[in-house]
Amino acid sequence: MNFIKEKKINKYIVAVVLFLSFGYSGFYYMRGALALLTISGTFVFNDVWAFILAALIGGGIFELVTVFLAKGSAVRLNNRGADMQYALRFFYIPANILAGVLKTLYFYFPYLFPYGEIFFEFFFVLIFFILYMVFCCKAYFNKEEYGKVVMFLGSSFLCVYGFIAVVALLSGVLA
Amino acid sequence: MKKALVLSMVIICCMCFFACSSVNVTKNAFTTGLSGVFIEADMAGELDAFAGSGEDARRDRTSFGEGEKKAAEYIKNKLSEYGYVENIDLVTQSVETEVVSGYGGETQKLYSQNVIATYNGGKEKTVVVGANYDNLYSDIQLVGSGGTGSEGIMNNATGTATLLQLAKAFRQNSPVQDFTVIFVFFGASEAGVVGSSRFVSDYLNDVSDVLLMVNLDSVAGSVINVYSDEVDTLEGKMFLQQGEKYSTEFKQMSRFVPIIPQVYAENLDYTHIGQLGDHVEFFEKDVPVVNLFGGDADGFDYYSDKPDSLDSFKAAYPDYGKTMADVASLVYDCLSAQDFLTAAAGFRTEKFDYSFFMGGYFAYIVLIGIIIVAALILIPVVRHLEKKYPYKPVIKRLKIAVFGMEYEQNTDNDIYVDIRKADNDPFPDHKDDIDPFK
Repeated sequence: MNFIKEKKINKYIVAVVLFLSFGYSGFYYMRGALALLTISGTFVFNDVWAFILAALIGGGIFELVTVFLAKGSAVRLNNRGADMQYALRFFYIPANILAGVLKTLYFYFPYLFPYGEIFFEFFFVLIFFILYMVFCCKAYFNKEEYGKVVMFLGSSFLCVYGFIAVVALLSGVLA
Repeated sequence: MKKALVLSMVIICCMCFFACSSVNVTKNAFTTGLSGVFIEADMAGELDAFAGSGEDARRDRTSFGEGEKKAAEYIKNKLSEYGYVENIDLVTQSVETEVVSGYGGETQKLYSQNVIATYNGGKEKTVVVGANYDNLYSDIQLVGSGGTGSEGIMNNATGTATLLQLAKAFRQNSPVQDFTVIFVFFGASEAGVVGSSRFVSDYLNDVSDVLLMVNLDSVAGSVINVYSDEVDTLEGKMFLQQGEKYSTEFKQMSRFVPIIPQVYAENLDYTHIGQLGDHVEFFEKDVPVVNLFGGDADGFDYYSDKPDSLDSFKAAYPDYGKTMADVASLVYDCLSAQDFLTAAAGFRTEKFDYSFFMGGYFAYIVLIGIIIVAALILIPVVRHLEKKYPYKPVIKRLKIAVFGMEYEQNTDNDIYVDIRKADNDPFPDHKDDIDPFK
């Protein structure tokens, strides 16, 4: 994992791969949403559009949230926010790819779609985020700081996903 | 890290196995022959007659409109011609719906009609074969639906003409069965499956007696998609198996159609293109359904209602009469088979029940529960880490060596200021500050 710590890969290359992984993971949901727009006659979309838009929206939201959190962590985490944001991309990429692989099940078992969209991504992201927290502690902080690092990262993660879950639930109920 | 990856892969494999092992339909006991009662030219002629020509052209069959009403009259007359007797086995079901014009506006009523022909009436069990006959040629302002200018030849004059020929064949050939066949021509379908909704709620006494509903929707093209449910079903398998005997390709609907994250059918937490149609009203009541529809169901723009006239339709689908004849034969052969009732007994039971997977709200609540539990776990983990690696604040002491003194012990933990010499200014950045003691 030294290549992450030492930033041996250009951050823009990592970001592009991350965006592609979001495209793969969000492809299935996005093509359905675009099919709805196509049916309603707004525009004729296709699978390429679905991949690109899933990548841009998923990756864009990720970058926005992590930039915000990295800046917010400046005081608490000794200005290591930028390094940690760089590292987080490496952990989201495999999580997205594994979620995307699992989502191919939709093609054969479409009834998995409702639960899959709720759990598949969260499940893999949770696993890789735990690994990410372990990595961050070891790579960027002293042992005495492990507690506050885990608290900050863990609570941030749970707040973001909790917020998304509550919004999705409420929007579903209200709709 | 490696352990986590291996664990993830094992979990994926387990989920795949679980999903794969749950959808096998085991029963396969259905064989029929070829009816050969449908002739290509008759089917094409029926379509031409329904579409009409000159002043009698039925281009505008817009839901709730006068054109739709005239089309219903035409269908009714045709069925009378084929031997169905009005008020005995041929009825028109009046369909009424209410809409509110604008916010807080007046409630207005819209009227449409279903034309219903019954073959072999009075039996306990029923099979429904349906097709919608309306289109969206003009605007329906009260329901906010814009007209497409489509004459609705593909969608769904083809289904209507096929259904007329089916009704005719049943009446003329009188296949012996122990169930009733109801042929329904649905009105107001394009405005939100209103006709089929009213048929299910008002006309059918007990949906549990309905063995099967077959929907004919846009039956032209070299491929006809067969959609039955989200999982393999006996009825779907029956139609696919029988469909192998015709020159038209009957195929299970592609697995690669988009799944739309929006609820259309009550029993389904998303929308599947195969679900769009009048059969959805039956599907919601757990009636086994088979939807037969043409077109490229893999694509995004399948259901965009493109303008289609009779001429453009014939140019695009020159073999439409053959396809319609094959579709009619498929339905006729399946329903007139001797062992249909035996096979139908398993339609409702021999199917994987996936309703558990449709609990979207439940899943979100579970997810929020997991997040709360994770937060509760996080607290003792952090406490454990703080206990194991306690934070020791480094208190740096300021030690000053003045004239005649030496530092007691020079370590990194303290700050040392040496003012033994005049040029050893401990605060070089503040030379210009005002000295308060001067």
